[in-house]
Amino acid sequence: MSEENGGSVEERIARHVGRIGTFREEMAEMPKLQRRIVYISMFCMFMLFVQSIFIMPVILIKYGWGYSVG
Amino acid sequence: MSALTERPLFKRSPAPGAANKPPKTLMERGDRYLLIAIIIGGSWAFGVFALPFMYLAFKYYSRAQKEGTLTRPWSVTIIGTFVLIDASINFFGWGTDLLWSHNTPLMQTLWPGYGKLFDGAYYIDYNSGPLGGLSNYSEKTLEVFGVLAMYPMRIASCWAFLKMKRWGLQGMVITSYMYIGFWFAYVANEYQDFSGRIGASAWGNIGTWFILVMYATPFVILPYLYTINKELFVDEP
Repeated sequence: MSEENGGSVEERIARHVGRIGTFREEMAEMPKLQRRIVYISMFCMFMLFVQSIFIMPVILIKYGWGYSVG
Repeated sequence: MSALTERPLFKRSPAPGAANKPPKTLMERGDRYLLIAIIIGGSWAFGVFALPFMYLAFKYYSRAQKEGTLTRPWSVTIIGTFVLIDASINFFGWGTDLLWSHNTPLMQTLWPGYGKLFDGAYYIDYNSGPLGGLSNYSEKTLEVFGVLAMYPMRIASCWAFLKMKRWGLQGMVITSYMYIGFWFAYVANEYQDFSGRIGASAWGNIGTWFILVMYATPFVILPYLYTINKELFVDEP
């Protein structure tokens, strides 16, 4: 087995990737396209989390508990 | 040795006993909390309880980065989390409408409530179709396809992507193309049945497009998946 393929998965990833810097350092080193995609993803991810957290409280406040159609 | 890869077929040592397991790294702990947050958040009904787990995941990743034990770029974590929360909402959350849980008062609060806000199909004739839950056939078809086929594939691929496996990256690309087809079918369905769906909701077109844009993950991430250095992802099962 070659040196390249030795060790656990985590060790191999660490060898490939090297030390991970802070988020800001990583963004500064990224190509523009990838950086923009990461920012858009962060925004959409935030909105999805907001939706997940607040959908049920909003429904309960607006329509109350139980099947309310009418 | 495998004739195809010239590598041993079984590379990992046999699973050690619980007593011999090495302690979990900070990143693995962060991943565990992230997964818990994603599952709870994806349920929608219990979304509020995901907040502390999200905080814990972020805290562990930050600590791992400071210690130098973080082995995954932040961008992979962000893209992976974005896809995972999307797939989780659609798998766990939407699954509650597909499965027998649609008979519970909790789901009869959540889904007709969602329907009145965003999509009339979720409250008009609710629980009156052959499968229960929403009774609009075109929406139900997409729900069955999404919950039973596409989103489980996407969750599995995304978890492997977060573990920096090559097949995870490939799975993300494949399921992104599936998702694009799904997304267009969804939009076409909604607008063909406008009066009974978008037109019958409180927030109309704005609410619908708020949902459609936030769930357009494949359009956002495909360029990233094609431009990322594939050598970062290990060729492991």
